[in-house]
Amino acid sequence: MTRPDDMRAQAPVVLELRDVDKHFGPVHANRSVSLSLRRGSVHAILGENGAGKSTLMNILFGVLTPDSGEIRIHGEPRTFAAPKDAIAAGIGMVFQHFGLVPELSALDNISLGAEQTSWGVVDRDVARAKVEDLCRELQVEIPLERRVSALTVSQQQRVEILKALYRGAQILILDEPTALLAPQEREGLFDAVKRLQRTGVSVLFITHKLDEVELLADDVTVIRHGAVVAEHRVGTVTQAELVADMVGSSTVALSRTERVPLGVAMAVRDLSAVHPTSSSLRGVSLELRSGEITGVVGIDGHGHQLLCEVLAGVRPPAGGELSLFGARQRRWGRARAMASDVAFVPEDRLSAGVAKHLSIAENLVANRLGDPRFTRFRFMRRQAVRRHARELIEQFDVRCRDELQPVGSLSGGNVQKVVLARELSTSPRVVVVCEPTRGLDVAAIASVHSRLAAAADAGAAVVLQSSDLDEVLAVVNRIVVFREGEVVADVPNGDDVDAKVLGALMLGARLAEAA
Amino acid sequence: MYLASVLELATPLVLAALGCLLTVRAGVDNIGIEGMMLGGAFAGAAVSTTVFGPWGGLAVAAAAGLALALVLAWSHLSLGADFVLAGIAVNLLAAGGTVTLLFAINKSKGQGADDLASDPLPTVNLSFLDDVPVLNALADQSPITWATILLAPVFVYLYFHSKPGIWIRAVGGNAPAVVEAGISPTRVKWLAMSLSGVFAGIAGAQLSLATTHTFVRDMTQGRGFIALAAVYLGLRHPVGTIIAATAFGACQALSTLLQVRTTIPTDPLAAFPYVVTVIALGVAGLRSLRRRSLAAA
Repeated sequence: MTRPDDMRAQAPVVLELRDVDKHFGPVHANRSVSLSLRRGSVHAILGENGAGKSTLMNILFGVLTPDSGEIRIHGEPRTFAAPKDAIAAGIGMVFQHFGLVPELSALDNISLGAEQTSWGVVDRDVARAKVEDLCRELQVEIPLERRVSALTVSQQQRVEILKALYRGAQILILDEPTALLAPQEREGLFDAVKRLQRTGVSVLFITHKLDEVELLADDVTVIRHGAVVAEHRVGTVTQAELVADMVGSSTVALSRTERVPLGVAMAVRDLSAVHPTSSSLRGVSLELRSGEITGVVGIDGHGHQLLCEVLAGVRPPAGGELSLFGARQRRWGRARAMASDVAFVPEDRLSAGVAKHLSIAENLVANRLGDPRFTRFRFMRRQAVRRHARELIEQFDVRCRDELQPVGSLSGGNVQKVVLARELSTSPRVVVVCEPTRGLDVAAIASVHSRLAAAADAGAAVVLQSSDLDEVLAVVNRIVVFREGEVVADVPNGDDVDAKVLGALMLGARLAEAA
Repeated sequence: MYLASVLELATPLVLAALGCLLTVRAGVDNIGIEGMMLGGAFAGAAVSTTVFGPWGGLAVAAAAGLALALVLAWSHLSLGADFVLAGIAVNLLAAGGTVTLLFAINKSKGQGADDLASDPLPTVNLSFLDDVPVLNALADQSPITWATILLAPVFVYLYFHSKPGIWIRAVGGNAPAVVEAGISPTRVKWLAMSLSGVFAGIAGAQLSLATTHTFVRDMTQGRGFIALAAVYLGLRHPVGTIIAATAFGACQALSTLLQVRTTIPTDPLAAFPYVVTVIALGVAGLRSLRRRSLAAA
């Protein structure tokens, strides 16, 4: 494959980020990020969810302002107080969830805010002519008079792109543009992007999908934990190397301890399940043993997250068997799981893990309202609830004003500690945790890890789902790799396993090739 | 006779409903429209008997509606009050305020406490239509009714083809998209609410300067809420809204007609338009519920 690479490598830099830094409270979302985008090139920003890609793009589009650092457009430093400043500087953004008005026609959406009027009446012919020109250039067809709500997802995306171009965007930011597209639609999008590129438009392309980088991008910048960890020219780097960049190389000291697993706590046989945005689980058989931490990993959406939801009882299995300590469970749901001492720490802790507006004390008893220690005649025993909360706050080192503070006002790490305190203080027999340290600072991460270790040492079967392979390698005893909804590897975590091997397995290599 | 009465009674509902439509589409369910109508009705009546005359009354009615709308917009958009609570406050302010002012005016004139005579607007007299069937309904209507009939198509056109029309619909549809396009949703909402106040004030003037020749306390009798109902029953479309508001006007006219012509007890008849409103909204609600469950399946 030949690319008109060399020409583009010489092209002038249209957009440059220098040492852009952004904190949200204790979370360092972007660490001194520098980046340069050349005219007419497609530059991929690759990183796992939570790596800080979206923060970076929001800074570029004027939605967020950086704490420090500089944005340069054509070499000139610019500050964006609002999206309209970014638009004026020639930046167009295509959000993952499109910023279109469903009730208005495609044409009205494209020209919204930039309408031409005569005698107070919007002159749609002018806009239509201009948009039709753009459509011809991109070779896309959009029914411009149709309401956006009646368009397909990929048509809506085109409308969003046209909206940016209509305002004269020379730099287009595409935020996970293929997330909602079917494979065929993806081809169409890529063709359109390539044609745009030929007209001199530069594209920043945010993704966590490796194959898309290879298909579309000229350059790739890999971001992890908010910092740039690598930059490559596409074509000079293998997918395995990119995975290693993305999820971390195993340079951190391993803190895991050898554990001798006890009996089987939970087992699934030939399990299947479906999910709207993930590969379906097919024929998954797995045993989870007491006293062991099992890591489940995969590329985002390949079924490992779905498995956790099924184990925790928040999503029903579609088929297969699930048994707990040898007893087959026929009606598995969250209530049943809670009654069977299956603790769950969901990925989205703030919306699924806690009730934001309630106090820490109330959240800490939310899973044991039937307990006579905390309720009498269905009324809460306030003193007992508060005393219990004070104990757990102390034990789990939750940093807060007092036990009556609403959980929503805590920092991310402390919210997570509240969730862990609630879930782990009931001495669960099975613990399912998803992305427990995403967005947390170093101290909070260490505390979460020691809690999980303590739970396993106390005899619980712990399942850890994390997109941070460093974390998985550091904490777990055994790793199960998912690909396209199936288990492709189930290996003990040892010195022969590292991020590169896991990355290759996640991409579909066989165990023998990967090792 | 009946048709003339339909036009007369539908006028304030159509005006208020179109005003409401603008705020609803901008994302604010303006229940304060009731108070704005009442304020307009009172101000119109009070000013009509002064040197400014009924036309001055009409202008002040519009201004009074606008003033109340600005109070609501300020508390909701600038101070962040919930629009339902702020709307209720505006309604209470209008109800209490008009009674207080009514009392103050009547005391100085030594009249009864509950009403205030107005100097009505002259009707548009087209006596040559008197003998034409159907069209004779138009023979003796108020200028407000005529303006409503003539300007409704203009309203519908501008609603779809003017910048403010498009922007108002965009704000209610997806405010973040509007921000991205460099438009301030708050300013668009200010505009929509101001317009609704003017519309409601004029609607009130129709009640006190045309349909009747007095201002009576609480004379709007829930017409503002019926207008809001008409917006939803009209599927938030201007033509639908006009049709729904006119249909409610027809119910009111029927109720009046039956009270005059038959021996059916007047209380249930007076309740009839409101019962129709509730049933209509129930049907509309069921329909949208079904559509949503279909979409979810």
